Amino acid sequence: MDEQIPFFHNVQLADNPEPRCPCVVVLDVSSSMSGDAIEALNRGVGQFIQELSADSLANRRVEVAIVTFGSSVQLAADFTSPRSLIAPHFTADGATPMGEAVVRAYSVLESRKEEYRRAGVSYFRPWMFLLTDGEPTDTHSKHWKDAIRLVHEGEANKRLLFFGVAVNDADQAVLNALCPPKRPSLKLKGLHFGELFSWLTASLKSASASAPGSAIKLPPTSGWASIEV
Amino acid sequence: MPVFDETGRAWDLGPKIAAGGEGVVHQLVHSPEYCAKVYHAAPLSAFKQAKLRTLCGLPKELRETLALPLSLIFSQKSREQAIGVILPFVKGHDIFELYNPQSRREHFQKADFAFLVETARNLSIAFKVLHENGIVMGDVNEQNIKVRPDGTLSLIDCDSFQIDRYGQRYHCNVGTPLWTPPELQGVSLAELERTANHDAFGLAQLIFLLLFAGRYPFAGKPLTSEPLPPEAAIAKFAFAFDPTPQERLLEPPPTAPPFKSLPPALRNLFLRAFRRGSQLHGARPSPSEWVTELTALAGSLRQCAASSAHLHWKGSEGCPWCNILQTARVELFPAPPGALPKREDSLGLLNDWAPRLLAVSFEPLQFGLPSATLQTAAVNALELELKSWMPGFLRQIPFVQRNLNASHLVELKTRLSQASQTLGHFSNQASALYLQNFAHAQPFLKSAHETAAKIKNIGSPNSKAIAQVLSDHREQALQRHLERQLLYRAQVAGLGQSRLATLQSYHVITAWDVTESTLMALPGFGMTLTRKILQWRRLHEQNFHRSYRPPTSVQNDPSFTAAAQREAAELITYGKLLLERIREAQAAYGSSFETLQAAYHNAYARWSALETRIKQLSAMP
Repeated sequence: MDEQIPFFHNVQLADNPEPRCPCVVVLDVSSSMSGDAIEALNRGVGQFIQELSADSLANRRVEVAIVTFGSSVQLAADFTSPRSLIAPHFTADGATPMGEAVVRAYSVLESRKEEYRRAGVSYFRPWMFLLTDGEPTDTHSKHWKDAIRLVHEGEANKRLLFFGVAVNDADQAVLNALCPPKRPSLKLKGLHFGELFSWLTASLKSASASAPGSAIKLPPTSGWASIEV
Repeated sequence: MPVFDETGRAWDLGPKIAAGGEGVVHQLVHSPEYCAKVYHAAPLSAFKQAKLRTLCGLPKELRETLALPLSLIFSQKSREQAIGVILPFVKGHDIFELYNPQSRREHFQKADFAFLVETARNLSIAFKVLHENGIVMGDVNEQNIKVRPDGTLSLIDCDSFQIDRYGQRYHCNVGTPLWTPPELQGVSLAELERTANHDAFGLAQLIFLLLFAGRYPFAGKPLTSEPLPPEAAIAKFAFAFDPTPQERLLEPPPTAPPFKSLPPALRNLFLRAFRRGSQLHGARPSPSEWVTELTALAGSLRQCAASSAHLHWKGSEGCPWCNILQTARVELFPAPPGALPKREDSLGLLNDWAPRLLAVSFEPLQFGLPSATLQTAAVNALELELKSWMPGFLRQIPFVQRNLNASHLVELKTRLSQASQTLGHFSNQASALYLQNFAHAQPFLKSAHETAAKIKNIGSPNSKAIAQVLSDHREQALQRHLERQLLYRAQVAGLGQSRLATLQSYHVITAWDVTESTLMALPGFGMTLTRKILQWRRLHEQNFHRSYRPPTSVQNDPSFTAAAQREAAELITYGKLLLERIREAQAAYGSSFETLQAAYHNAYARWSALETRIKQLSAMP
């Protein structure tokens, strides 16, 4: 009781004690995304926030944070409810420090979980959703090894649900090294970001409304994922 | 697309308004009070049809509590293939939008703690009716109970309920982990017998959420580092508010209302509902037990001293809502605009207040006379001064003395005139000090007198309270008028069936529900259409204003008394503030005046000593 509690987050959690489903979206904004891809991504993220906001229960339970990686790794939006999240406009620039981005996203997630625990608000298994169109440029760094370890351990302990999505000509073999073995990366059909984010919305809605235990029923990905033959 | 009910009547299936796991809900064209659910698994099996027919045939009285289907629907007039049911369209909000403080401020602005207790009681009554009719809800959750603005409610999604009729059991095969009792966590629900004791878990959790500011009974500060997702906490009977748990896994959340903020009898019901042992047959409190204790609670609420919107059990140590406001900086029950004032500020007090405000004034202070001690001191000081003018032995010589007296007299008179000037100077300073302080206080004085006049005016025909009642009356009449204007009859160009369905799914049904911000937030409503719909609303508003006639007498209207009390409370609060400010100004003036008066007294004592001495000398030969 005598611990200090940070002001802003505590107000949100006391005012809305619903169990939370935190979802950190990790987005590739490296220079290879420039042009149509980054514009489609911007529209997709805007639509994602809007669709989540429209669902009254999801708006109370889902919390979204956005980490981007390009010329640097940035926390573009810290965890908040969909309705109070203002989607930033992304511009494509720089390299692909994917490992560092995943490590950063993981730590943002950990600190939000700590806030939930302090406020006595329970939470469902957190989601990390990564979108990339390239090859990570930091595979030789400590970050990349850490990222793989964090994702794999998190999945094994059921403390994390990780989804990797490959855009355009992303190297899926490298991405799959990061993805949990039982849930390899999916390849986005063209630039169907709209369908992809609608799927994410629907999945988060069902995850937050029905408290996913061991079995999670996710909607079909056929609207946006292409099947590799 | 036309569909047909059991009697062969055709219904026009409108666009989708909601989609769920089992089916899709459609609007019925020109029948906004009904909707139709079409199942994914159509045509329906004979067994499913039998269950739905049983639900349709339940006694009419149950329809007040349950959104029961009215008829099966078929794709052809020959009624061979059943595809779904016709259901009443239930207006209201999901129950979580009432117990969640954020949503409550949005959808139930006037709901105070008494309203929550009343809703919890109505909920218990609904379950009592359900169980007495041999029905088990099964999938109790935050989204299948709709609460209306008056605190009554309907249970929806009745097609999943477990029901026994004519020796046949129709199971409830679904559940939501967050709402599943510990004994059923992780158990396959298909074909499983659901009992009233299972429902009693969901009922208790809903009541807990309503009474404890949206806090879940199984969420708290974890005492181990292991993650404890909600369903795992339920499975372990980890009731966070249990004062003496068998195994403590969770502490109560730091900014939740304390468990002791409710009467012992209610606390005991919660312990029976959530503790280990509650899974045994009939162990959890029955709906009737809740009705009894919630009725008792409703009768023992009191208002807290700080806010008329803070109602709590009268046996609670302090006001839980004030504590949360202090610790978490969250106002769980904000006073709605136009809330009734607290009882102590009722109309009766007004008789005291007008005279008190009128009597207040800000008068100049007057210098008094210095004390005798000060006088003596001044005389002694003067004597010493005189002695210093001439050595003692010279004064013994009569000639010298006479001359001395004459010269002393001249000198003393000069000093007296100086002393008089000083006194005059102090008097001027005193006037300036008064004017300066009066300038500070004057606006408060003016307001105090105006407030007194307003207080005397309460209840007279040109008072604010009456104006308020008239404006409320107009506003309410406008609302009633607009609520009768249905959007589906609006004939706004571009407002087709699918957009009407979108509107209906957001509860925008009448002209009253139409606002710019609501429309702008809806998907697929552009500027042009929004403007047209708003124009349609304005047209009806104009029609209303043309034909509206205000009531002729309002004095006996209860809302007048309320408005008058509200105004009285406002004026008294304001009056108190004014008196406070005036007192402060008086105190500041008083303390500056004291300093000035001390200096004046010294000067006066000297002047008086000089004058006395001059008289003495003048009287000498």
